[in-house]
Amino acid sequence: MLDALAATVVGQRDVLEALLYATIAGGHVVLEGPPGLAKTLACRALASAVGGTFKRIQFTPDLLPSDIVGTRVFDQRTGDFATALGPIFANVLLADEINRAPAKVQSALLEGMQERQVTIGPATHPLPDPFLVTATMNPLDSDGTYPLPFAQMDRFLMKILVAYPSAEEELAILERFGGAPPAMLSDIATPADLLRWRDEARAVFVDARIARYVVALVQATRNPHEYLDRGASPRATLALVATARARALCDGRTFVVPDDVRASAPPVFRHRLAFNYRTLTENVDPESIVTELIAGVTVP
Amino acid sequence: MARRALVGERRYAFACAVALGVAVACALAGAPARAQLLNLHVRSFSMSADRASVALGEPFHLTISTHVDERVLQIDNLTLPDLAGFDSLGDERRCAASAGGSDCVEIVTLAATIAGSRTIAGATLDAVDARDGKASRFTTNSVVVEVTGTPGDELSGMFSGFLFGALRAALIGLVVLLALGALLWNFLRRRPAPPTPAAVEPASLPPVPDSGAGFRDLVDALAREPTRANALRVRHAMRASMNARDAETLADLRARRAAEPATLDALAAVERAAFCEDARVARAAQEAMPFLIR
Repeated sequence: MLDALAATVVGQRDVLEALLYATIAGGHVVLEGPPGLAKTLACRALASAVGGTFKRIQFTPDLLPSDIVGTRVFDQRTGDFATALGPIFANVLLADEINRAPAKVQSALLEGMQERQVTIGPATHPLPDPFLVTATMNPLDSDGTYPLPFAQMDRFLMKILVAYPSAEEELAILERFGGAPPAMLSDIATPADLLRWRDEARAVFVDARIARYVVALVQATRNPHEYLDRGASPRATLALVATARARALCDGRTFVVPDDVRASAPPVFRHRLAFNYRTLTENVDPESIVTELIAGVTVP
Repeated sequence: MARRALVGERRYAFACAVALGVAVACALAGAPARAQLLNLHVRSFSMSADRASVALGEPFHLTISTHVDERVLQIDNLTLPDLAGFDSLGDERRCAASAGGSDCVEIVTLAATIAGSRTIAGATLDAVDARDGKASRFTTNSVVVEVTGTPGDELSGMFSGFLFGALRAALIGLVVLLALGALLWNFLRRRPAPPTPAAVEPASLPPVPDSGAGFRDLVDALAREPTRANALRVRHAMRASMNARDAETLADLRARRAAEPATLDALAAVERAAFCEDARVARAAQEAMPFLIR
């Protein structure tokens, strides 16, 4: 699966791995990075590899909630209202530039992301299983963007930072995409495979010491800190264990080791911590704060 | 000219209407006040004290009795006399039906604050006299009360009155303070405790026997008893030998090449035994032995 993704996307190994872990853990991911770093391509490659249904929504300021979840339309032939399901009804949903739409549109995703169902009018419709939201954000252009509220950010299992490729990787990009774009590998796995992997991941053993390590890491984010207003929620605890399990499964293990937790912590924590104004005024990199917090907790 | 006459007539009519309105308003405004007066046949209206002579501060009762021919539940517009020099300690009113009308009594409990002969002027009752239909004011007799006591007693009475007032204020203040204290205590008790720093203990490790027990002994113990506790002891000793910091994982040790690759592989093998499922600990420990012996 990882190879299939790597066949399309040059480099970005960490990003692809994180996407795979989130897919197996059954969580949603948000990718943040400057334009042109293959965020959308990575999401499309994942959707193509997984198979199932794939929908893409380009978030724009004039988007409406009904453009996402669907709406009820009057059918003149039957004389009754019919429900037109929106693009959220897909196995993989790409919410491109999610912070370009106002909060009410972003909130339309909340119920679907957490409850795996959507309410349109009087009826509630379950979403397909598996259901994975991959969202992209561009941190550079703040004009015309709407920051996602914490309640929504908390619903993303991971936030993956996409960095610029190395010189070698950029040469490879030139070779691969200089001519006609290569076809994406498709149907490497099926939605049924994803469900099976998810069940296997849930069965991965977590020793009591590992569980306490997870809790200690989350608690460390809630300690008074000069650059933090608020720490991670208990949902982060669950997310960290789920991601560590997926990572262990991908590594061929049926149990979690401390490295699984440690490596999973930054993408699970970074969007759940409320950094205060001092990080801006003192130009402190939030990522260094996350790293410092994690490094302060004793490994079992 | 005719037009002027017409305007003059209109002004006159307007002025008359205003005057009539004012008159009606005045009549209506006066009507309720008159309507409040009871139409009574007042047969007797008197006032008496139960004691002719009282000491300073000593309570006594002043009784105002009214007998009317009508059946009434209460008597309105009864005005008490000026009670300067007395403290009013209580007031009770009641009316009861009696033969040929109603007997109404108002009893005022008083305590004198000034010594000497004190004359209490009569109480008054405003009512419409049923005999002639005119609004009348009935007045009781006055009452003379001898208040015994010296000027010192008077001062004492004043002082006791002051003391009583102060004591009452202090008591009210105490009750208010107690109520506020109870509210505050209740609020603090219900207020959630501020978040405390993480109280999660660091993952506990089994103690490493260091009294002459070397690494070889630990490995031997793991070979004899392939348990999770023994695996953790070996792992702990290996990490200590690599000067691993508390927060360093195996990946960190590999990254900084804290030991030979073979030693790090052995640590990985032991780590598997330390964190795998209970049912697989023994097997994982046995699988780690070749790495450790090497």
